[in-house]
Amino acid sequence: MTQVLELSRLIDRTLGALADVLGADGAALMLIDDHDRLRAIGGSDDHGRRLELIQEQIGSGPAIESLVRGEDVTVDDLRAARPLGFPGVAARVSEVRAVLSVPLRTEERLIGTLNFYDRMSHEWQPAKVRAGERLGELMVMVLQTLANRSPISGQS
Amino acid sequence: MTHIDPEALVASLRKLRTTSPATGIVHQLERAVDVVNSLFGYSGAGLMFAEEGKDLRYLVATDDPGRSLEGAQLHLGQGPCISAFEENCAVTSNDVCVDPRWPKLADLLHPEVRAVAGVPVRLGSEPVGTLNVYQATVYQWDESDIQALYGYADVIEQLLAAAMAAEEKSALAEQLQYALDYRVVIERAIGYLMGKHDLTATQAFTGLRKQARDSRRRVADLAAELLGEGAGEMR
Repeated sequence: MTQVLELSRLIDRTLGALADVLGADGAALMLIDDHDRLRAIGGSDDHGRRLELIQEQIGSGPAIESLVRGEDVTVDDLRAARPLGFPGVAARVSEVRAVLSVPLRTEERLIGTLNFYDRMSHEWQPAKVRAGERLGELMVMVLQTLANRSPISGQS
Repeated sequence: MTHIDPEALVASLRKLRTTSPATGIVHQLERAVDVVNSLFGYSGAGLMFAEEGKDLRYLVATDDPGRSLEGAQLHLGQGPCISAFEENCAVTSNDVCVDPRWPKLADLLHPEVRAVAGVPVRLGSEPVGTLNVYQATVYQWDESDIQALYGYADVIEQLLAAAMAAEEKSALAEQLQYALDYRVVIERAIGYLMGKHDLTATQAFTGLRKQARDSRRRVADLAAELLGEGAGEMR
């Protein structure tokens, strides 16, 4: 149990560090689990965790669109009408306005999405999107390193 | 308290484990420094690391000027990155060639190294190394530069912490020790390639690294093999 909490703390701190580097208010993570379900892993704060949980529940949102399309998805204002925004998600996470979702890949396949968010709506500049992609690579490195630890082996 | 679902995380890591080959921490750190370098847009970046209870040594440098920066400091036992490690805080120099704190450094540096900034990389609160960046021209570092550098150092610290969580501490130390020791072999291989193919040090290192990546091998292993072949040719 202690080891699992240690993993959680590490991911929590990594998300916080990545958000700081990008200059975003927060970062959150969705990953595909060992039953091929997309799971809300959490965020650097409670808003991030809720952003992911709601997308997992309603099956819609920037993270899911990013995973389906296999490319970056930028949402300047989550409250905007579709297709620019996701008002269904925005209604349940009022504190999050602008979202950048980048797909996470290992060499073989898509494994999930890393999502940066801000409390204020704004346009995502191309340089920031590219930086988000590179930070996604760092997230994958941390995940791959953790995946090879022994306590998580076996089937659920 | 975290904002992470432990069960979902473990189930996802289990999925990742089935398809992901294990890569060593040193390879991960090399990739991480590459990412940092591309994001900063500075001239180059590097990572120095201290063996337990010993002096700082260089582990990763993105290019030849970066290696000269780290090598010169190690030779003299002083410089901005060593100060960052010893003082456990950010140290900058707007023009290291005329900086009175390290008057002998300029003679040993590649001419493209002018402005230097280093921040400690810590495990717990203790520094275990430094993340360094340099600029090819005189540059006035400001607070936003330093905050960004600390942010990247934080990510590298999480990567190290992940490796420590994933492996026995002794195995991790062994990997880092291996890398530190094999820098000598890499330097010799660069010298060999420069002489054989009339390359600059940067071209030789870039070619070596690309060939290692393309063949999914460690740079140190390829360097050792090249030196073995070179010795065979000379006999």
